[in-house]
Amino acid sequence: MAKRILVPLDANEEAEAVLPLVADLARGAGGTVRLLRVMAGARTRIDADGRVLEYAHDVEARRQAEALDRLRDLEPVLDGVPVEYRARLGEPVTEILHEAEVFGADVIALAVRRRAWWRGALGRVAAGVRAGAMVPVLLADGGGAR
Amino acid sequence: MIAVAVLVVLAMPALLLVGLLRLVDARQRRRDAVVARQIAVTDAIHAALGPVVAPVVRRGRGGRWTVVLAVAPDAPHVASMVGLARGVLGDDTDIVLTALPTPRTVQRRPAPASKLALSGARLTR
Repeated sequence: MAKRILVPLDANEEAEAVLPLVADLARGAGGTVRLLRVMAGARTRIDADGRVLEYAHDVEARRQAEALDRLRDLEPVLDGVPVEYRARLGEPVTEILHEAEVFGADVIALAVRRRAWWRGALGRVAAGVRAGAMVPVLLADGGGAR
Repeated sequence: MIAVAVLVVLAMPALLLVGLLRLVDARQRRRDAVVARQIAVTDAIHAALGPVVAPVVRRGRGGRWTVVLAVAPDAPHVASMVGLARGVLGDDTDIVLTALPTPRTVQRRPAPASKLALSGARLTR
């Protein structure tokens, strides 16, 4: 059974559709859930006169803190399940696969948004994770465009 | 030498035919394996939970099994279905849930009396 479940989430609420199921799976197996948010890296902002408006590392630290807060808000959905939180910077597919390896995940669970038929059944991230994952992937329809 | 060449040319159609038949046979065996596993998963789910879903089993890239369940992630017993499917096909099985989750119900406030009056509705006592 799935003892260590990695759940990559993006900023979209539809991605959270998979959480009740993940909670059930984790409770059934006495497992641990790790919620992961991957964000793009920031750049240092400089105005026209060459003055630094915002340093990249400050922006990244703020974004990571906000992402962790947002993930912690989801704790009630996973009531009774040990939950860990991670926020990473970088390319989503690479970071998700790397985190799965670090965590020793048994399953990667992610919600996929519905896409128009001509754009392929899965999003780029879901398809990339599915193709590259060494562990089973659980994909759940999170809704979205048809 | 010529005799060998003639033999090879004559044997070519037969070899081609045998090759094609073997290919068809291999494809058929793979399809049978998929069908057998789909039946096994269906039977396992139906025996435990009743006829709640018709799973579709596919063989993905790298030979990993994929089970497609037309249920929403928040539907009842989904965790059991996933567990049963993985129990039959092994833990190294991808699961795809294709139905939409149940929309969250939003509590609507009753329209104020002034708006009802504007729309021509009457309040009865």
